[in-house]
Amino acid sequence: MATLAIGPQTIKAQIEKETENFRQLQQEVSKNHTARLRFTQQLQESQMVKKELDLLDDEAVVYKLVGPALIRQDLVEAKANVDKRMQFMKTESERLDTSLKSLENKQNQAQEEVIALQKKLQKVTQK
Amino acid sequence: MSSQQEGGRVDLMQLPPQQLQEIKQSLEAQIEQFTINFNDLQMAIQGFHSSGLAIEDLSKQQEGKEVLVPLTASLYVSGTMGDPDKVMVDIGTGYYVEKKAEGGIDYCKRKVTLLSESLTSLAEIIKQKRQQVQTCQQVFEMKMKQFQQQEAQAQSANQVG
Repeated sequence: MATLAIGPQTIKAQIEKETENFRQLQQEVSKNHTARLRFTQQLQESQMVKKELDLLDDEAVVYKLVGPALIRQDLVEAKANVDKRMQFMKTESERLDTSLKSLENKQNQAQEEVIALQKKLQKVTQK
Repeated sequence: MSSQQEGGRVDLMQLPPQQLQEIKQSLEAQIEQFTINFNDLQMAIQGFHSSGLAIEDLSKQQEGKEVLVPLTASLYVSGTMGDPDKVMVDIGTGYYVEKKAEGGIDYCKRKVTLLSESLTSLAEIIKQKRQQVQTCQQVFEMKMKQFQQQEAQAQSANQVG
């Protein structure tokens, strides 16, 4: 009797733990998603800026907004800076991509774990 | 997630009604988001269009002309017009470029064309999504009818038995 009574309880606790784990993973995935979205948007904007800078003459006057002030910048330097930023955002997106994959794997594992535990619980309670 | 989604295509007839409703709901949410984006795009186009017109107006003005510059909606200070052929264009991520009026107008026109293209493709996507919602609804209604027929048949069979 005693073992039967404890059985479902412990499994239920395990299920709760795993579900919590799953939920946390879900949150991380969505956090990752928003970060990626932001980078993609910034990357797109930078690409537009780069295109615009490429269209300019060599003697074009370029300013960069630093705080509230516009600071005069060299065109070549500005192009290099935009390129650097784009490179950074690309690597950052890729990094997020790989971490997203591993997170999704973990999520699937957690889900399977929960399902397996639920089946176990059913078996125990049916007996 | 499931084997039914292999190849990115799902046979709607194979899905249970509940899942059909879920798909429909998520499609509708997407449409809503896209419609918001659509309106934002339209606003942006409008903005670039009026900026272009403003530069055009400005370039017709003469240098040294007296103007009143608005500091707030009701406070103006007097000033003189600088070179009307020189404009500063915000090209994004904090970069500004000095351009001639013609260049500024050209920039605005280019942006309007670019955004208009996006607007057309977005409209196409929204149309497709609406069609998908319709198909979902149709399949759902068909399923419900089938279900009701089966129910009625089962009942009449019971009564006979």
